Amino acid sequence: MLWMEKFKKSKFRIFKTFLISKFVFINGIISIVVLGLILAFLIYNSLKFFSSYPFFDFISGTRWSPTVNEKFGFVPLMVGSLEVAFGAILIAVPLGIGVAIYIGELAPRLVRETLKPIIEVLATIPSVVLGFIGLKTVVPFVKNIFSLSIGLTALSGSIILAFMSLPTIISISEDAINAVPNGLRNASLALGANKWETTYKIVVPTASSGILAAVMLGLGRIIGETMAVLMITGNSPRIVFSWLQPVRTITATIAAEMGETVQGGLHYSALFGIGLVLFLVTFLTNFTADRFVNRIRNII
Amino acid sequence: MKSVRKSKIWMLLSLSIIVSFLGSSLLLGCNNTEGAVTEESATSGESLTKEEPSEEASLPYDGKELLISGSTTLLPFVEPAAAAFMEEFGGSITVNGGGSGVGVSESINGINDIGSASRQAREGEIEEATKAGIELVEVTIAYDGISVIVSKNVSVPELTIRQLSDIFRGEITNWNEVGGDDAEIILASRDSNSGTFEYFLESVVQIGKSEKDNDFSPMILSLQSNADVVNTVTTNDNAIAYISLGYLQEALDKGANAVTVDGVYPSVETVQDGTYPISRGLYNYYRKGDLSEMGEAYLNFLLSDEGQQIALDNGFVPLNK
Repeated sequence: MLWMEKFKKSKFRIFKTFLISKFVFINGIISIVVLGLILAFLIYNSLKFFSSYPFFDFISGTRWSPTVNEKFGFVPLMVGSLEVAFGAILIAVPLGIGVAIYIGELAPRLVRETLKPIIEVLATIPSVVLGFIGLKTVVPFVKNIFSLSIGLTALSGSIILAFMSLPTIISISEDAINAVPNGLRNASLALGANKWETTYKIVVPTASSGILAAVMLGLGRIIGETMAVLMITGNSPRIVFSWLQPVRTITATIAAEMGETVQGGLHYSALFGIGLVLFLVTFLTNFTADRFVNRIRNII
Repeated sequence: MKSVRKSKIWMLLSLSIIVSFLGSSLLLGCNNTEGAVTEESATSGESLTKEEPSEEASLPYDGKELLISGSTTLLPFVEPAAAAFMEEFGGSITVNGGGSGVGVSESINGINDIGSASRQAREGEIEEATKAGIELVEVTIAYDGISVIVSKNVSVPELTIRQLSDIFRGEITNWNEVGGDDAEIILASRDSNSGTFEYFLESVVQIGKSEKDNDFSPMILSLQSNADVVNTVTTNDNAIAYISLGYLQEALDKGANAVTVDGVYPSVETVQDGTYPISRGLYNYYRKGDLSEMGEAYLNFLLSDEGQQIALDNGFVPLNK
């Protein structure tokens, strides 16, 4: 009797395991399906634009003017997005890696264990709040310090976006630095290298792929960010190669113009088209970052 | 070991946050429920007198809802008008912004009951509506003038339509070309969602649609609302922008200067008598045969003397009677 009960129990357990594994499997598949549907939706809606608007005019057009003569030149938006993103990376990377090295290598335990959670909480500040803070602080600051006539510039956007990406960069870089085996540090110190030499010749190079992944993930967040840049970069669709002038990014264009378009019209489709480009860019960035993250996992 | 310690600290941290949140929300909750209880008892006490319920029942549209969306330009008129209507006739009116394009497209797509727009529906939009088997009905609810404002430091008192067109097209880029100081002109504009943008484009930049290829300069700043425009012009030097007459007083209070256009100063009187050159109608749209009784009553209220007075009080120009 007892063995039969045991048998039943184990059978039930096998069934339960089967159910749970299928449930988890379906959950995993759903996220992939959703991603595929999003891509399909973007492609479907932008089809009208790409089939009726000359692709060369789109990719090399220097004028974004959807209301007059329907000119959809991508260059101003591309330049705007790249300019803001590049500036943000330029600010965020040295700062972020510096903080990560401090937390990972130098800070006393107590400081480290309070600092890291606080930095991670920073990532939860909604971007519209940061945008508003930027509008009231960074914009006048940039205007006054460079004595510009207007503070709504690419640089203002870069500064706020740098702040937005810092938590990601710091947190993942610090994980990578933390993952460097202690044996390497000890060996370096034993050979007579001091703490600084050990850090920049042994620890940072070993963690470099993780740090790169952190930067890429930060970049993904920067390129995709909308609300803050919409509020503080001025949204002027001009082509300039200066950080002290207003620019317009891809994301801000979609957000600002989507409400007005006639559904199913060319402008509507064009906005989905630039959305598709944006999706591909952020997808590639995150994909590359993921490859690097996997590489650190393999090292350890 | 390290990870264990870390997770412990995390747990402690998150626990303390959760506890503090719970604590505060409990406290707040207590206050709320107390408040609710006292209110309830108060109303139940009053209901014994049998005056409250009868008064409430006298409002004809209680429990009915109306959704209005569209032009941000019209918000300073629509919001107080909706509030006055609700006070007088009951019901609940939700007013959303979003821009004229949103107002019209939501009317076509059956999302709102009434769509407000500071421009007429475009050909493309009307086509879209007929494709969907819908006929949009247009109601002119007021007029508006578009005033041109400049930053405090700009000393140019008047501009012509031609000069404004050249300025916003980027042909004139320095204030000294129109009689001001030697300084670069900063162009502030609304984004293309805005009916004000559209109207200014057609009537000023394209000089009343006579030069249809004229376009805004790519140097324009596209701002999200009239309030944003006022803010940008008043906090920066050498800027020029156009705003709805309803926002002019606020802009002047904050230190901007108004410019006369073709020699006429923007005001309710000059718009009404037709001398001010940049003025337009403001419209409400609804789907033919799909307007509730309350919606009809609301539109009648807007067109009544009381509704038009609200328009005037908020800087719009009432319809000529």
